[in-house]
Amino acid sequence: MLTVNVTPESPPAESLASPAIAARGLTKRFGAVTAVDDLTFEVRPGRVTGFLGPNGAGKSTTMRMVLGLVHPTAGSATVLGLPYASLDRPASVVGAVLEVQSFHPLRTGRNHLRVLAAASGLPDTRVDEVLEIVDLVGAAGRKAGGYSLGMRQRLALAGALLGDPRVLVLDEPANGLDPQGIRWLREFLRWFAARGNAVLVSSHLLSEMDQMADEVVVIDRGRLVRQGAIADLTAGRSSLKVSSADHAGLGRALIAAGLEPHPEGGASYTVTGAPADLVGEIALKAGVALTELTPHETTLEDAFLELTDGAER
Amino acid sequence: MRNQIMSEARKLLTTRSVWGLLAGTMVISGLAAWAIAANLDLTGTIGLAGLPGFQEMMALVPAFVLVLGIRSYTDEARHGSLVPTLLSTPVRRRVVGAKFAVVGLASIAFALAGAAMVVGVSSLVLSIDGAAVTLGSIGALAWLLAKVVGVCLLWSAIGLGVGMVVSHQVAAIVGSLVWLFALENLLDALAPSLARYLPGHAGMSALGVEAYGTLGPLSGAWVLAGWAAVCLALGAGRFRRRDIA
Repeated sequence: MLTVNVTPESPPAESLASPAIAARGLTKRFGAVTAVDDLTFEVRPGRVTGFLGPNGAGKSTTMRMVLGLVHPTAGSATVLGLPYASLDRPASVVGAVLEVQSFHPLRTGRNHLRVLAAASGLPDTRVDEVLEIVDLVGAAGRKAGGYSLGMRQRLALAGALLGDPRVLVLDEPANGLDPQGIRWLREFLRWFAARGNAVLVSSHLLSEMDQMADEVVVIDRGRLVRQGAIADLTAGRSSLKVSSADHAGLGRALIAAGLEPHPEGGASYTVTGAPADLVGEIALKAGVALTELTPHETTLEDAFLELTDGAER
Repeated sequence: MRNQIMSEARKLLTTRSVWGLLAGTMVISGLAAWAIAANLDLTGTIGLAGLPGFQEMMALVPAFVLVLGIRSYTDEARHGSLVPTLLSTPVRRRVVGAKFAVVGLASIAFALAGAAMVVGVSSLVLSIDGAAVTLGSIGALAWLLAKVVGVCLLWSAIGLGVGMVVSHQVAAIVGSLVWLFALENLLDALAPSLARYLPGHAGMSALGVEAYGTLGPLSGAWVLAGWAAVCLALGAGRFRRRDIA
């Protein structure tokens, strides 16, 4: 059973003053293809920031530019105010999971982490600690090539946590995790951010992101579409589905009340910008009997599809 | 840098293919020693440094060290572990420096392991044939081993450089071995005066293998060192600019 049991006695880290990650005009061209186009955004401390975009939108390339793995064609990115390559002890600043397969398959999970720990000057005892955090102690002596997808994700996450970083950058970390693992990840990231740390996480599981993230950065075709709190993204987009046997009468009453009902097929209208009790009152005054009055809360998925024109390339 | 070297050493020691290469080095050296020593017609007492054919017995060890150097980078590119390596050590010249230090040290171990097999097997074969092999001159033996170690060190650097340039593991290893065992010999047949400056020929000259020894050991070593410097510089330059996408 995975539980968020990460040194609960340790005090919350002091909240970071400056943006944890700042991208300014980031641009990357691969030949004639512009993967990322003049992208500017910030990731704030104490928040889980979701990084959303259709396939091929440039999310992974952006993350790799932030981490110094891909050289930007233009623009820059900083982590805690410094380019990644200038960080003195990067493992204690940023932990990242970019690929599920990022280890030699014939090396054991523990040895993989010992290799990483040595590079950052960390003691082997830290390896045992992170193995415990991700609940991989029992499999640590096995060759990592034999791990399931979920175990590989947890091994990668263990590597990211080795240096006890203040920023996490995770590319699709929920891939391959079972529902229990996804729940653990969500709780872990929220716990991590609550300590004043920052998380930038991409995922195509929008319902999961809805529960996990405080705010989102939405990109499409390499360009920023929207950055903000999820609540702001979905606010004002909620609607009502209202139906009556007297379809025409209902439409007239709603229009007379200054609303804009959109016919939805059959005997229904979709109404936005009005609470359910107001619509009910309008129908009552007009003497129209309602057969349905259903609120429809706009989800992150609805907002995302609207912002990206439902693009899936 | 110490941390990076420790990390690279752990990678090397926890990778089974490295131990396979070491075993291959010892087996091939032993077989070469057996094949050559069995055809020697020697009697009396022979010092190790004066063992006929010692250089030829060691001639295949550089190929294993070359592969060792190539896989130091290409293994990481192939399996994706280059990403966590660069996240831990974003300054790429440090990664190159640590890899060079570790494959260099490993190449010395390979050279000494190969030499030990050659000495052991050839001593056994010659003693069966009635000759007595002794330690002989320590200074001459040390010089002989120094040549082998130096040549292997340079070949490991060439391998690392080639790996960083080519990146694709199979292409780098197959291409290098085809070059070493086929193309250089073809060029030797076509233009021998030019071929002696090629890395394989220069390396043999540095070892003192007479069939390739037109440059002489010292010049051969300098030419091989030049190749090592060029390969490392090209590889490091390519690695520094490469996007790990």
